[in-house]
Amino acid sequence: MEDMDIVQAYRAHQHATCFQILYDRYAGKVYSKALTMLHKQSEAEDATQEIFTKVFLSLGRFEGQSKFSTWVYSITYNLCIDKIRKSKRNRDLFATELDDPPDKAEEVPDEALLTMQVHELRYVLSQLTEGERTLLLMKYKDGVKVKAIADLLGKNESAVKMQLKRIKEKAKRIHDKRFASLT
Amino acid sequence: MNSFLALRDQDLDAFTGERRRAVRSRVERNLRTAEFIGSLVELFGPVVGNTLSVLGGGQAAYDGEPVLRTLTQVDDDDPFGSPPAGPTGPGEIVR
Repeated sequence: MEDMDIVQAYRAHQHATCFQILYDRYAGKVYSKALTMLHKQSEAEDATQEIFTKVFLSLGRFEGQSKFSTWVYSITYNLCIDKIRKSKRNRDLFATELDDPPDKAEEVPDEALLTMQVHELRYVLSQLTEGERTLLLMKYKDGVKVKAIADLLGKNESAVKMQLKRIKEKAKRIHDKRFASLT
Repeated sequence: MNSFLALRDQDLDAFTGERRRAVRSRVERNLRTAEFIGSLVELFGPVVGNTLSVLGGGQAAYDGEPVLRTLTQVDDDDPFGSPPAGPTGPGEIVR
């Protein structure tokens, strides 16, 4: 059954079954994305609760112009970004590139990050700043397109690409420093 | 599988069973509360708005549904009352 059919059925009858189906379909994905951005399990759970409450209270306004999943993800990101802004702990996520001119280093291939062991990746992520970690996880864990990230952060695409390039370099440096000598 | 997807799967594995159910029941509770507040506003909102308007010196914008009013002859469909006046007057049998 398509998402839109379930949404329409829920709007018409407020059936608990429709709620259950949509929740089961998206709870894991929403939680995973919230965890990407907020980094703490308890905060991600609270955010998941708020996101689903918002989704179901706003279902009347969903007109089906975009896919339901896209709509849910935009609510997820907007709510998480609001939370981050309120906590004021992630200034660098919203900082502009002007503070930090681009460097000339060669780009680190994606494979360098994708082929790390999970425990190595966890270590590398723990050494990055929150903003860097969020950007990297949005791109590689959640598969968000650069354009969508740029839209969410209110930046242009080239700024996001440049930032990602630097983060990958930093991640590779951290990885090599800690693990290269062990192999 | 790449390391990021493996990381995502590990995160998802952590959000199953009781934790997932707990979040769902919190969402359901929130929705029920919102629905309750919504129905209260729907029920009493116009009356409260009217009261505030009148208290502020304005006119009542909402008359509300008439609850008690004098029945007119047309409204009176009481089967046990007097029969309606016909063309020949009460008591007269038309054959």
